[in-house]
Amino acid sequence: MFAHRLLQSTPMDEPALITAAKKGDLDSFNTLVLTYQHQVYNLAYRIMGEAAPASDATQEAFISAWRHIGGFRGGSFKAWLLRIVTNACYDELRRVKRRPASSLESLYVEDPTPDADLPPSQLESPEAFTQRRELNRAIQAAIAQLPPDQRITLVLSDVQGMSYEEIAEATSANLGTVKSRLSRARARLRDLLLEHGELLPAEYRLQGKGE
Amino acid sequence: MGGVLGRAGEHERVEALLSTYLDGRASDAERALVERHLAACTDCTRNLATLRATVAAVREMPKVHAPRSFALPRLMAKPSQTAPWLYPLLRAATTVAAFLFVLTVAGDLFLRSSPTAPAPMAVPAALAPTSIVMQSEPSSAPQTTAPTAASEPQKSAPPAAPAPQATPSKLELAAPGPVTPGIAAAAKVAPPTPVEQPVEQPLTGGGMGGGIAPGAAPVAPEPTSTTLLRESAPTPAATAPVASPSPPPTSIARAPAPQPSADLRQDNLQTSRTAVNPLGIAGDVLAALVLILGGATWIVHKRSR
Repeated sequence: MFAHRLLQSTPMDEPALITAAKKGDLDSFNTLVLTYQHQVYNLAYRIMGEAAPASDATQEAFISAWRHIGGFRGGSFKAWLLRIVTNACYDELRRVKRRPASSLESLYVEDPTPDADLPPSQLESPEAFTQRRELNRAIQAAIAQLPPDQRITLVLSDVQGMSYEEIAEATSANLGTVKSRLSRARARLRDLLLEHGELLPAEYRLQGKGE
Repeated sequence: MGGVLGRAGEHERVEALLSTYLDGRASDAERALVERHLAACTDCTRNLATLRATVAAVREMPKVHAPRSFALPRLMAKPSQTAPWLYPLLRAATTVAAFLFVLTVAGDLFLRSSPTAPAPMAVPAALAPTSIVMQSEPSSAPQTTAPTAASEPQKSAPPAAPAPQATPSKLELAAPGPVTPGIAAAAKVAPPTPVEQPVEQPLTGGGMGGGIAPGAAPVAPEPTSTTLLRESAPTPAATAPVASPSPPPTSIARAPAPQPSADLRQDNLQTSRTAVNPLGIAGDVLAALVLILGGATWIVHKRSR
């Protein structure tokens, strides 16, 4: 679609696209979708831990964004989108929770993580590549063990790189709550990774056990 | 610094602060506390190191790419563009059409009940609809028309449903009498009541129908039809809904009138075939309009959600 051309070649005039989308121009909106879909999906994937629910949440988020774009009052469009997908993930997590718990276990077994499509770099030995991949898989599995609030806070902070203030806004929580959720999430994640100590790279293990 | 208890409390406190400290977001006081404690506590020093390693590992996770395009399909374009004003408009149009339809039916009935019209007309007008709807086989007496009408569509377009049922009644049973402005006006005065007449008359001997249209009296001059009607719809409760604009669905009142009314229906269907009434045709058109508008309203309403 021509939206794709816009995306790659010309610098995107985001405000103009948003204005057009508000008037009902789907092409303009889809240009924005193509611009942000990787970030939105990445966030959803790290929160959900699996491809299918991440896709669902992403799809839901963009549909919701399209429906409510009239309510977008300026500011960062990306932050607005990420807030929407965060909410979609909350909903999705609630839905998943109601289903019999299979997803948590399956993570440890065999979830074809998209990390696999990243080839080992020239500098990296096959062993290091494998180790890195295992670590990522372990992290993703550990994140999946966190309660939704902690999980989302951690991902927004350490995957998405949001500030405390941005997280507070995205999750409708106050700063103190964000700090304590993040603190508990990180500590729990650390403990889980240490339990599967062999998955932590050697230097971390040494740091952990040394002294 | 501090006793054993105080130190233990500090340890917990520092432990909880490590994450914020790591992000450089601890206050000056907190940072001082953490650093002082770290200098003395190997556990916390180790915890800080592992925490830092964990956060670094999470941050280093590769970005995952969307597995497909999430661009919205073209059909998504419509609702958000049109729904805001389309739905209220359609709803209003449906209401107006339904109101006109009621007026027409009322006028039609009034026409038939006037002295110039063939006597038994009023009865079949109400009965005929039931013959169309197969489920209500036992021909549930005149009062059925209005309640079903109002209760069936329920959500968006209450008056839409009566259309299909009533339509044939008017086409086939239309009275030959002239459509005079006076009649239309009379119908306007009390739209719902004329519908009520056939039933109300024999049952309650007037009741609220008293002050209504001038044509109320000659409604059911033919004794047989009155009798049959009384048999088929004996409960006042069943008649009541006719007049009210939105009766409860339950009042559709299983008022089965098995055989007799069926016969009556056939008789009337035959006698009525001879006549064509402009008011009846208008009713048909309006009925179709109500149906179409009601359907469109419903669809738009559903899609907009």
